Amino acid sequence: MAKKKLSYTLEEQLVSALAREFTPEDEIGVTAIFTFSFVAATLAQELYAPKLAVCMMAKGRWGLLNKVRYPFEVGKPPGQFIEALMTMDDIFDFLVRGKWNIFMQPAQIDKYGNMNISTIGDWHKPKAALVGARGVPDNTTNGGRVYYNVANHTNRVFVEKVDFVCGAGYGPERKQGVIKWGAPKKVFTNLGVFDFEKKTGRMRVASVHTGVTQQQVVENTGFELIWPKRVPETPPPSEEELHLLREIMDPAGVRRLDFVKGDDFNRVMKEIQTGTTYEMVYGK
Amino acid sequence: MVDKRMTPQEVVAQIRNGDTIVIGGWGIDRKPMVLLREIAKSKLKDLTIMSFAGIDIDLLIGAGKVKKFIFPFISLEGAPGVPGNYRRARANAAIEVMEISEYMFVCGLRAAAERLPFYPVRSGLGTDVLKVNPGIVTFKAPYTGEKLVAVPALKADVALLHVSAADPSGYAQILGDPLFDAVMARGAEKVFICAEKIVPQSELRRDYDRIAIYKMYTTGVVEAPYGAHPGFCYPHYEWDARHLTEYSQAAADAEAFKNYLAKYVFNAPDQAAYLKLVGKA
Repeated sequence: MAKKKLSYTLEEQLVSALAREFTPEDEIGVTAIFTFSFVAATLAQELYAPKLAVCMMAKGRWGLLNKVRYPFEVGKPPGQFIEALMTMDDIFDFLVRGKWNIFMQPAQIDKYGNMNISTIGDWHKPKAALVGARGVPDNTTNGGRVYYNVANHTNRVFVEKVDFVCGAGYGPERKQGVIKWGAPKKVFTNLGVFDFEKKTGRMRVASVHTGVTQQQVVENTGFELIWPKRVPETPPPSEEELHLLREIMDPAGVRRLDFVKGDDFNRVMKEIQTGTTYEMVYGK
Repeated sequence: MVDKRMTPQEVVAQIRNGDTIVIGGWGIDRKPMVLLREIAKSKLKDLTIMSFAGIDIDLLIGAGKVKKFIFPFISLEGAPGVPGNYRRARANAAIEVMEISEYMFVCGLRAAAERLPFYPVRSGLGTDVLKVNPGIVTFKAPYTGEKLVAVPALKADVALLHVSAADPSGYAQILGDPLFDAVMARGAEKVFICAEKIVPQSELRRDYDRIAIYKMYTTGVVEAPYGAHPGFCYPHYEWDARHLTEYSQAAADAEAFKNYLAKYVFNAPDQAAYLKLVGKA
């Protein structure tokens, strides 16, 4: 029987690819709230990681969530999704115990997977002071699996050398075994999926998304990537994944929010908050 | 019982030029804004501020109070971007900065609270955090020989905290995430706690489990409803997105921020007057 050809969007392909990173052994996942990566972690709970709890702000603390259905207000997941509440102190306990799998968003990332969210330009007198190192140095030395997401893959983000290393990539300390945990595993962008070559620690193309050309990837990356002989296309989402995403978990389309800006963002937010899909999920 | 109630002015009178102050909360969660506005109004100068930072440090930088800033991040969460007074101070290299990770910050506080010189962590290895902090050294661990980072104790002269409720003796209750306020209190010489309300001890002990800070650490308590505004204090109120946006826009420009200070800090003799100005009275 011929396989039915599915139509799907970029964010659905990304959500599927991210969700498949989770395994039956995984116990905690954490992502920025209301991004495609959070939707992916929820999808993973259904299909690939039955033990997984997803961390999100809840009830003035942090919730460990399961069976999440969108949408709901940021920081206010309905009670039936919350398995347990924890404090910020508990979060660091999980992190240093190595149970924490995290998706983070770099402002800059280089060919060895070093990442930066601290400052652009000279740290002592920065052109732009960003949020600061945050927990990135903690995650890249203590964490379980570390992933990076880039919604807009450009050569301003993918740079030859980051201006400030917040997250340890595959530098000498990693090679020498000084740093044992928290190595960045993959980078997910709007153009493709990237991993790191074992021998050199350099970033490598794992796959490019449907409809994306190799030239697009090259033009938007500020350093030389390692290309495999044959470049795979990122696998399409399965029919089951699309059904769960569209009909059950995220009918309002929270997964779109990373990829829209300005007026489009406001339109999607409004759709999410007031659309018929919202009523479909929660009634009137 | 010793009654530790005091006014924001009395708290500020106990702070000295050049003091190191650790501020409780996280981002815009439970920041003791009443006490910070009082500092902004005062003649204090050359302060070193340690904080999981948000609007707190930006306000104090904007008011010209800060010599050095020790922090893992600065974020307003509710409003977009990194606040302007901080960005300008960094671009002009106008303040000294010690940037460390969140967990290094936590462990520095722990070291101070335990009267230890440092705490061992893995965080920071392989990053520029160690490069820009030559004072933070690595060491070879006894027993295993592995390389670790020695985070120095983050000792404070003064801790300023905001909580849900306190009693006059200095017990304090936190109903949201207790965060790291208690360890901050244990590592500081003087501890001033701002509370949404001050209640008799008999009322506080109805919920023993939520007592987060013990009176033995507390120097003074201040009553301040909406004391964390424009940030939030769970479950009492959420952040004031409109005021945070107004703050962000003002902080983006040095002249506009002078007007902000005039309007909301110098023009408000007390919290009641401030609440009228921000529409919360």
